[in-house]
Amino acid sequence: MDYKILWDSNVILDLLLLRTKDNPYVFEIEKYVSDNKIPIYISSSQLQNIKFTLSEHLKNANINANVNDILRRFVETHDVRVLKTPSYIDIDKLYSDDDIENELIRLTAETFDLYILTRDEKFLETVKKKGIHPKDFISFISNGNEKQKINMLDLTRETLYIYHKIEKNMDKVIKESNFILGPEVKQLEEKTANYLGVKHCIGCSSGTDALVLSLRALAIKLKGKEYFDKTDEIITTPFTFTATGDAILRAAATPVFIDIDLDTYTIDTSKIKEYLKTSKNVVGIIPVHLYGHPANMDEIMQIAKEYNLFVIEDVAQAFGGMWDNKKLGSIGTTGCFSFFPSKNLGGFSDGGMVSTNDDELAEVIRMLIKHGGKDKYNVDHMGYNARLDTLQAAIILAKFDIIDDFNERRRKIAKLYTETLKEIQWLKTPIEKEKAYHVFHQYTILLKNKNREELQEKLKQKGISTMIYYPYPLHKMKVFINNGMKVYGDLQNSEFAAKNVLSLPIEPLYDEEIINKVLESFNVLSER
Amino acid sequence: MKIKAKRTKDGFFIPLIDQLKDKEEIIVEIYEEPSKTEFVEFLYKIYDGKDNISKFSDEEMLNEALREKYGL
Repeated sequence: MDYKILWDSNVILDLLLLRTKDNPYVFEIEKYVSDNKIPIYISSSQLQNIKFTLSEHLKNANINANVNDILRRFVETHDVRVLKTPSYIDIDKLYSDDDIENELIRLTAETFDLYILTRDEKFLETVKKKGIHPKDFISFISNGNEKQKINMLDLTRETLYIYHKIEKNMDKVIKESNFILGPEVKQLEEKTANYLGVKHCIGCSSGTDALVLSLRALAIKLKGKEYFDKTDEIITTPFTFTATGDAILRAAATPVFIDIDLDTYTIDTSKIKEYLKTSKNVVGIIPVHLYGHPANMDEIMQIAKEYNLFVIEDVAQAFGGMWDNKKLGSIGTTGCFSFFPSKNLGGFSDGGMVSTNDDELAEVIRMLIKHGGKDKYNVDHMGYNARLDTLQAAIILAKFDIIDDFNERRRKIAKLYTETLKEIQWLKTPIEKEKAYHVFHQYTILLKNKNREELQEKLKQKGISTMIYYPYPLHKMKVFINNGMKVYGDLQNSEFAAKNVLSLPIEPLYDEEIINKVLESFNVLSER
Repeated sequence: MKIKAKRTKDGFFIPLIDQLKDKEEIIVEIYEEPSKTEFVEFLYKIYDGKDNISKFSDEEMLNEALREKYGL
C-alpha cells in the first residue's frame, strides 16, 4: 500500500532513545514499519538536529555509546529515505514566532503529499488532516488500506523511490545550465547503446519522433530523397498507438495494415508473407513490441532479408525486453524508444531514442534532430527541432539504474495475476512466447463473451482502475482513411482485440497485497 | 482504569477496589507487549537493558547543549 509518512524528529528520537513513557506506541509502530517495509521519510534539515540531540541525550545520561553506530544501524535496518528540504520557505518565518523546523518539515511533506507522524500537538494542529499522532498510526494504516485506490500506475511513488538520485542529476543540470544537448544527453545515448549492444543511440524529443526520424533517414539513405513516395508501402499493425501509423504518413509513404495474432497482439508474420506475394512496393516493416511482448523477430528479419526490406522496431512499450536473448531495438535496422512518463523507462516529459548499427543512418538522424544539418546555420535536409532535453536525459539516467529491477517486478506481478486469472473461463491471460522476454508494460487480458464496460465499471466501484489499449484499430481512423492506407485481409483479430482487451494495474512498486486485492475482485465477479 | 492482577493457582486475582464494588461483571482486555525488533533489542543492549534513558525533553536538551556550546 501507499505509505508516504514523514517522521518528525521527536518520534525518531523516541525510538532511538527508547522513550516508551513519552510515546507508548513507538515499539508497535517501529515493528509495523519494519515488518511491512514501510519507508521512513525524513527531511534533510532534520538530520543534524536528530544527531545532535541524540548525542546530547546520551552524554547527559552517561551512556557510553557511539551515536554513529546507532544511526548506522537505524538506517541499515529500516527503509530510511531522505528528502530535500525545499528552499522556498517564506523568509518572514525567520522573524515570526512560528517553529521554523516544523515549517521546513511541513514544506517537505507537502512536496510529495506526505503525512507527518508527530506527537507535537501544536504541529498537529497546524498540519491538520496531514498529521498523524503515534496513537493513531495503526488505525491510520488500516483505514488507508481499506480506502486505497488502485491506479494503473503510481508515478509519484516511483519518483519518490529514487528521488535522491533524480534530484542530484537535476541539480547538476541546473547548476551547469547546459540545457540543450548537454553532456547528460550523450551519457544517456552511450549508456543505452551499451545496454542494447548497438553502435549508435540518438536521443530525440519523443517516441513518435524516433519513428519519423528513422523513416526520414531511411528515405534519404535509400531513395536519395527527403521523403518516401506515396507508392512506397510500409507494413505495420493496426493494433497499436496512432503514432506508429502516423509516422508512416508523415514520411509520405503508405501504411499497409496487416493483422495481429491474438496470442501476443503483435503482427502476424504469416500474413506479411502472404501480402508480399501480392505487392512489389513494400520497402519496410514496422513491428510493434506491444505491451512489452516482442514481435517474432526471427521471422520478421528472415522476411526482411528475403525481400530486401528495412525493419524499424517500435520499442516504445518494451525497453529492456528481449527476443532470443537479444535486446529489442538491437535487431532491426533501427529501434525506436519512448521515454513518455508512463513508459517502463520514462522521464518527466516527452523524450525518445533511436538505436541503430548503421553509421549513415545515425549521421542523418543526428542532422535531422537539429534542423537538418551538421551546422545548424547551414542545413542539408528538411529537419526538425527534435532534440532530447538535457533535463529529461538527466532524469532518465537516474532511473536507468533500476530499469531491470522494475521490469522484473512487472514480470512478478504478471505472474501473480496469471496464476489466478487463468482459472477464469471468460478471459484469456497474456502469454510469453518461448524466445520472448516480456517486460509487461501492460498486463492485458482478452475478454470472451463478457461486457467490457460493465466489468470496468464494477472494478471502478471497487477502486480499481483499468484501461483500454487501444479501443480503435488504426484502419478505422479518419486520419488513415483520408490520407491513403492499405489493408490486407479483414483485420478481424485487431478489431476483436480492440473490442475486448482490458489492461489491469501494473505498477512495479505495487506489492502482493495490492495485486491480491485486484484478484479478489475478479474472484468475486466470477462467482456471480 | 488499570488494575494489577496477580497470578494464583486457579487464575488471576483482581482485587475488589471501590470502583468495582457495584459490578456484577467486568470485561478484561489483555494487552500484549509487541515483540521487539532486532533494532530495539540492539538499543537495549547498548543502553544496558534500560529504556527511557533520558530525563530531559529534546527542547531542554538542546537548550542546555546550545548554552554550553556558546557559553551563555
